[in-house]
Amino acid sequence: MNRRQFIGGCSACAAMAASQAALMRASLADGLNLAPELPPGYRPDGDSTEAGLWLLTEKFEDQLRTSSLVIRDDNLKTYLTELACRLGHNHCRDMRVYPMRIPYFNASMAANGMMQVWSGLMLRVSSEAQLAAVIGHEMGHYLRRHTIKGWENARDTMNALSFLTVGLTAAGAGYQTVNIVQLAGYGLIFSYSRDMEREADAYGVQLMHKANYNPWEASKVWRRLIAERDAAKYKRQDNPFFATHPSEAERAQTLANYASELGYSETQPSFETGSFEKIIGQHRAMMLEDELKLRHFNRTALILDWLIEDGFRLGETYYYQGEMFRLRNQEGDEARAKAAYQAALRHDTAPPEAHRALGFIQLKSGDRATASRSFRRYLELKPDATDRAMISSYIGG
Amino acid sequence: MIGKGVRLLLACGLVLLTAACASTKDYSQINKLDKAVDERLTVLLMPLDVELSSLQASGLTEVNAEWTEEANRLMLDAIRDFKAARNINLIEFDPNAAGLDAGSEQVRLLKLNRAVGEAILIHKYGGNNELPSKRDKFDWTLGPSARVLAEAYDADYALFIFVRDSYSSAGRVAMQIFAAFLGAGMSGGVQIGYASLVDLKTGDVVWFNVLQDTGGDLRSERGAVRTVENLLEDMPQ
Repeated sequence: MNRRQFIGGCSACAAMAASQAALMRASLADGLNLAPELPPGYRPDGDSTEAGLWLLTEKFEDQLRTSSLVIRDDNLKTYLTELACRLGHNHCRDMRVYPMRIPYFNASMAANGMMQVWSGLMLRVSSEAQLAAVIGHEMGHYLRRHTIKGWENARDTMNALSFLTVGLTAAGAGYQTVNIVQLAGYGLIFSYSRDMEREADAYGVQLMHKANYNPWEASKVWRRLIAERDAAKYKRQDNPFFATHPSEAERAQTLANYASELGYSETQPSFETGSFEKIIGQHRAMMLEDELKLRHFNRTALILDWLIEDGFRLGETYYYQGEMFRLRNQEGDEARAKAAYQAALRHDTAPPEAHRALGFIQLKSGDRATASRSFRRYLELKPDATDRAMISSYIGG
Repeated sequence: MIGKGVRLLLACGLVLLTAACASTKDYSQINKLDKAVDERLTVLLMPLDVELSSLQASGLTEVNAEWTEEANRLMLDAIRDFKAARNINLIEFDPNAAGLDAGSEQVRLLKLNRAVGEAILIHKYGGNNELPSKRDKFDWTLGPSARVLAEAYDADYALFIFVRDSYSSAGRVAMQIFAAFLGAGMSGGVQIGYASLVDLKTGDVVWFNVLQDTGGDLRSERGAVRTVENLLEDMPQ
């Protein structure tokens, strides 16, 4: 290659990069101008594919309504419903929110307006704006009718593939060829799914912006998830071909771009109603108990660090940090647990159990007098403790 | 006592490309329903669990809301006629009754029956899935809490009915013809379902009947009558 060719080649690169950036801006703007595809009060026609989907979803919702996994707290339900309504105004009446006691990061919204918000999600977000980011994303799926589009896409692709497979086989195509064609078809389905996730991300940002939440918080949610994934002892092996969602890194970046495009800065405080701590905080202990039972302690440790950073209900949070160390039981964890229990007791939200837990560590180290004081304190604070007789037996005379 | 019957209801005839056959197979713990002499039996009909779908070329099924709603209505009519013919007092479970919340024993029984019905289908009818502890016997039960239904409705037995029915879409028919042309057989839509009779004093599933029918059609009145008869004909009296 001579010099001229090299320079020419490179200016083409630059032109390409510039047009890429222009394209990117255009798609960002498109993403932020998405309109809802269903009017408020929408119901599908009786003989449509969508009506069948609604029928199944309504049957499922009937089961869900009486499920023991639904968190029965009217305040929480109202809080989440009002949040959804703040994001979805006109569609408020079409949405029904169910807070679920399921300790994984997820929320979902079905074609008929049924929304689930899982406890594992409520544990991991640090503000109402972050909660709004996920709920807004789910509403994006709903308002752009993704469930039905996804089904129609999968159905049609599978139908076409069936004919293609039979035809290819009949034409004498080898096993390998048929497999490759089928694989390409499945790839199309997963790729469509990823595109819908991208659209829902954009829609969520738009809804946050209209409701005055800082969309940067959406990006923060994904950054937390990336950090949690990296902290995991057993890492999930993602295959980008079969992924239903774009990578977390891509989403964090795109969401940040959207937020910048809308003129927000990362540090700008977001709108908040101020009820997040009180309403979600009520259920923190339950959520942390469930989280500990999953026994993926490295991830739990990280979540606890976030909660300590968020800085509310610290007594309770430090107590569960102590519990995490106690259960993990690695080298040095006993000392860490002790420090965490002691930190818990410096705050007024520490549960009485923090005294009991500290008492056991003191007893183990042979300090009977201090242990007895801790156990007594536990029984004073929790006179109706079910383990009263047991704990009393540890108290030295 | 354990009764066991297998019947072929209809001579199988060639319809389009596949043989249309209906077969039922039932298990029962009793010969006769338990009632005082000359007393009319009260059977509580639980909400029908019926779904109709179109069968896609690929074999996926897509639920059709209109067919499903119509089938529910037609089946209910057919069941009412069947009960009248048998002189049974039929009452229907009210899904909108007060107090049917998460803690309700009645709601739990509905959900439990679904799980038990599925277990019976898989482990008693599912070929190689037989459970060692259930071999040569049929003793499934919902447990004594079934009494809450007896008390709420003053009924002797509860009848649960489950049907999934699918019909070939135009694409599937094309696929069947295409495959047949190439010398391969490909199935069309099929109706499967079960009826389960529960003694509300004990909760025991006293009779259970599974239907498989490639020629049934719940979209017509005649078809609904045929399905209901196939499902309930062998019910102990």
